[in-house]
Amino acid sequence: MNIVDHLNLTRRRLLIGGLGAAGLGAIAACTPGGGNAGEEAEQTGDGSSLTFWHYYGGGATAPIEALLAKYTQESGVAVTPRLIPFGDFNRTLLQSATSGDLPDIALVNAFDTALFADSGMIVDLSDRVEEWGESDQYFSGPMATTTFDGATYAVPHVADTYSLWVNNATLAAAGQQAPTTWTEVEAVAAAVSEGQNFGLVFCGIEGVEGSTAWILRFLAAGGDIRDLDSDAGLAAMDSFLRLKDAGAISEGVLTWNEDDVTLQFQNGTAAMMINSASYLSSLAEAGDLDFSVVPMPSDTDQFSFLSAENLTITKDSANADAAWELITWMQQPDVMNEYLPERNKLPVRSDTAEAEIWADETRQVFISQLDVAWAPDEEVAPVSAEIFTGIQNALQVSLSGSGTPADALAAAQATADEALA
Amino acid sequence: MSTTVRAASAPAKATTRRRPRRHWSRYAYIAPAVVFVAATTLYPLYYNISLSLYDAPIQKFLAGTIEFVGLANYAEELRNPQLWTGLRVSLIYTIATIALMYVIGLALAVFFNRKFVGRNAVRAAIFLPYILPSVVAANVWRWILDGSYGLVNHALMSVGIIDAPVFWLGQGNSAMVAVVLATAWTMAPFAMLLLLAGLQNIPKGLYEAASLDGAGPVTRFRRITLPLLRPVSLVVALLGFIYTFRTFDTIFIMTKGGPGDATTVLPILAYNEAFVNFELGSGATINTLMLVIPTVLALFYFRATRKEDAL
Repeated sequence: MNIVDHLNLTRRRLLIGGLGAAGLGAIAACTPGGGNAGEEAEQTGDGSSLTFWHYYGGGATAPIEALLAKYTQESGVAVTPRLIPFGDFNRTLLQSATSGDLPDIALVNAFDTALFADSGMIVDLSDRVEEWGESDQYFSGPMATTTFDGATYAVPHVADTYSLWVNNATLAAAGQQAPTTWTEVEAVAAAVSEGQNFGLVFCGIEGVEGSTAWILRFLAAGGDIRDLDSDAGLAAMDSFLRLKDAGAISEGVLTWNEDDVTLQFQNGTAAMMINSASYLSSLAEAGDLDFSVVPMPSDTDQFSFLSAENLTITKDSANADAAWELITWMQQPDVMNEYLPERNKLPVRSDTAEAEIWADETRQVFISQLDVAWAPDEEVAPVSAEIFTGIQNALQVSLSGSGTPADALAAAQATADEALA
Repeated sequence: MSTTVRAASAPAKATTRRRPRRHWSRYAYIAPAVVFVAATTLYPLYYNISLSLYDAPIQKFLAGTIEFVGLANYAEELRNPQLWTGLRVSLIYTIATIALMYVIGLALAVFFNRKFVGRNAVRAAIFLPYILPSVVAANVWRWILDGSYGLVNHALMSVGIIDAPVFWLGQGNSAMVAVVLATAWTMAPFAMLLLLAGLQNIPKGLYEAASLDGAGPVTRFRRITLPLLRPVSLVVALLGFIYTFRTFDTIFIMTKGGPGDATTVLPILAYNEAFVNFELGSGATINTLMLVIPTVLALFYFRATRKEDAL
């Protein structure tokens, strides 16, 4: 039954209702618009100006705005960027979709691309991408996040991967080598831990962000994201519990975001950390910190974790051709190689990654992880937030001792099953 | 007799002639308020309840294909253990916050009910937590209680009460205590303001008479202050409950509802369902169910205040 047919709820009314007190209403606010998944945006604007929404806050704002300003200078097309904080980005985008106020281009989280495609908020770019003929230059992991139901809905913008950061001085003082397997991680972390100095830190904070480290450990143990309460799940959880029991990780991991984790590593209170390339500049500039980066440790398998953003054209764009021009301009290797280092992000194209600036040993480690960087497939991606939150809950329950790993994983499995049903 | 009738009928006609104008002007005066309430409260409320009757994941919602499912969302949510956990957590959080807010507010009210130099300046300073944006207050508390660099750990370790940092927001019980403390700290000035007004309405003569009868400060407080503050205390408790039960920002910033579901109050549960899982129908259902308790209390409050006004 269509919403409009019942209770006379028009989307316009939904929009007004959405502005209401309950907060929920905000999204409830819906309006016309949906139902055009797979349609190309019509070119009704003159293409002389574009709107561009992103969530690059803090130090990431200036580089993206400079990039867009450069395009305006070269092309004469005025680009108006709008920064929406990450926490509000999807909600704002969804709300705007209901009222037909989406921007021409939305820079979205790679894992959310399938959800937006499924919702009809972004347009099918398959024909454009095929005509462009450069898709084979992209690393397979980032490119895979742009497809939904056999069509391509986005172009990868930047990528990031997770690796193991190692404090060389701390390990050397304890006579330890950088670990290459999870068994070695446990041994090294225990050997270098003392009092409030911990062997390994990672982000385990409430919410989606806090699930990454466990997923990495789980995938290495041969896990499948649809099968959390498997032997691999128990192996991953037991591994973390052994680290905790050995005093090698702090219970603070459950309260730390990735910035906090970096601070621990930078202060020397953590000998190793699991983190992305986002902190390369800040740690490189952190004085005399002697660190190196090694690939994520292996167990049965070796995996990293993909963090990426994709460029999309929305259903409301009246300047789809002009938007596509900007997107393809941004993807040129020389343009990206000027932009990426400042952003501490990795190239998504192999021709971009061939440039001299990526020859640096540390950056090469992160780039090498792109080949093994896991990302949820298009069935899991739209509900990944729900599954990842369930995983973090299981980690919290297990590490805090408020439940057994088996029970915690069973609860996470129930969450995943319900989300995927 | 006839004179009386004529005298009465003349103004009656005049009234009849003027009534329409008065009638419309009356409505014109209240129209802005009515429109405001209708647009910002009644319609969203109606819409929220309507949405709770649909199966509305975000994909269907934007495609305009959501399905009417009647009360199925309610049946599902009432079977959902997370809802009952959320209700239990909400009640613990709300009642503990009100109790602490009341104790602090009363202590401050008694303190400021006496005259001393600089009273107004100190009172203004005490009021700061209430006017501080809750985002700021919650972040300050998060930093104070942080396990690694928090002030509380530093202080406790300095005096030897603890020998290792405690991650206050990483453990269920202490996280609950922390969010209660932060909310009560914010709300205490509000309680103080109402209770101070109540204290100032208590006739001084009662205290003087009690003193003459030999009653000490504790007895005067127990036998005069507390009983005569009862109506104001009820208002403080009711308004405090309604305000606290719907609190979202303080908890979201401090713990995001964690660790686990230790501080997942109903507003956070509804938010997660709507904006993390994008199940709008379920989120609206939790939201509607969440309104039941404050609505009952609000009705009780209005009845109580109406009786008071009638007196």
